[in-house]
Amino acid sequence: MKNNKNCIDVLKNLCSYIDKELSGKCCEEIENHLKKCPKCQCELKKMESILSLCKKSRESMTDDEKKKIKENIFNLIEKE
Amino acid sequence: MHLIDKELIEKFKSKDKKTFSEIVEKYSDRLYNLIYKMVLNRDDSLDILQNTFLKAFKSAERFKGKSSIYTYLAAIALNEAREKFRKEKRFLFFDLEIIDEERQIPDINYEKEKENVREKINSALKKLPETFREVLVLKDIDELSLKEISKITNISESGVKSRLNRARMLLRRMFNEE
Repeated sequence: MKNNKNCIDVLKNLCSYIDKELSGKCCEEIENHLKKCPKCQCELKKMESILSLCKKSRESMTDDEKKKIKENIFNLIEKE
Repeated sequence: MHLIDKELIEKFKSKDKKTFSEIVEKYSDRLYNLIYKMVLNRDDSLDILQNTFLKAFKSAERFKGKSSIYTYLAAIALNEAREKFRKEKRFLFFDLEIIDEERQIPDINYEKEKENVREKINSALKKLPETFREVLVLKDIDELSLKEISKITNISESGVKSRLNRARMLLRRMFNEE
């Protein structure tokens, strides 16, 4: 794989590569390219970091909110 | 499907309140996170969470059991979130052609900015068009499979995948702009 010509192809397939959805051959080609291309390596790291942050960035209710929601739900169900 | 799941589904469909209480207990945290990332507002998220469980209970007998209870709840939550957007006309328009693949992302010291990460992600999510945010939140935050997302959104798996790829590229760009 020639580096400069294939950066666009690699970037196009980056998400599928991260999700391990590519065939063995395609995956191997991307890995060979990544070994030689710091720019694509950087893109991969950035995308993986952002997706990892997405998973870690959780929202949570307070215990009071959770309790109140549950009470509301069952009060409303009882009224049905 | 495990026997315990089958029993749970049957009890859910018969509107057994004890079972429903267990379901609320089991899924409310995960659903709240999913809804919040869609609507990015605490009060709206709490309202939608409550409505989601109420609607799930009211229509429980219509649940066919072909998907998990969580997928069923997530689909209701998504519709509720969409309804909220429709009412408020909070549509965002974005020129998808201006995504710059070559753009460089500056280094971010994630450790130093740890406390701001959630806000940064939320702020970037807020700028995503609704349809892109939906698939990204379902896949990359709620960690549902493409098959489950396809069922929830009523679009093909290849359609989900394609939308997800564009959503991720957009998010990367939005994150960069923060």
